[in-house]
Amino acid sequence: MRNRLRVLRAERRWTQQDLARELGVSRQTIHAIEAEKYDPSLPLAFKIAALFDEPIEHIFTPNPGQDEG
Amino acid sequence: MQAIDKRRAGWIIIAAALLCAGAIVGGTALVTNDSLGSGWKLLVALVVMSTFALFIWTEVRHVRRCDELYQRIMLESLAIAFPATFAAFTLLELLRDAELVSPPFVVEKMWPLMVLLWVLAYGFARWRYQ
Repeated sequence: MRNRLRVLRAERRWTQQDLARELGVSRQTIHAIEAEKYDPSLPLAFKIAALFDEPIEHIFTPNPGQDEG
Repeated sequence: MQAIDKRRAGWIIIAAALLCAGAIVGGTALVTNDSLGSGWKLLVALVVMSTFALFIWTEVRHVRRCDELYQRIMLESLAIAFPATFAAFTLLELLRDAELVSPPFVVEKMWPLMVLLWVLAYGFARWRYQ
């Protein structure tokens, strides 16, 4: 799954730690999502969308032809 | 989970693990003591098991409080370590049955292998998401 998390975070001048605190997850989780090594759960994805006030599909887009893992 | 909570949870798990190890050592010494009746030996065995129940409870509580990536890392490390331990035991038993390995090597005493494999698998799973 591709995502714009790094861009959205940079626009707000937040560190990964700031974002992690807002979402109630670890900094490693934010790093893994930004690096597209980990796809967040649906509840976390919705939480991210709500935090950035954007539709979920504007933040996360499927990576064509590639399954998770 | 906050860093302080995480550190404290880690220490609680280590303390529970040390309690288990102490219970095994103490329990083994007591159940091999001939002066102790079978009823007492059974009680000692149950006390040792109760320390494991405490360890499982602390670990499950810790994992439930962790964030989703950490839970996935834990799941993946167990998914690797458990079958890998089973495979290693099976291989060693086959080698023993084929008389390719001989005493003092004892397969039944190899359970710490699972801990070692879990540590390796945990490191691998963490590395995968870095």
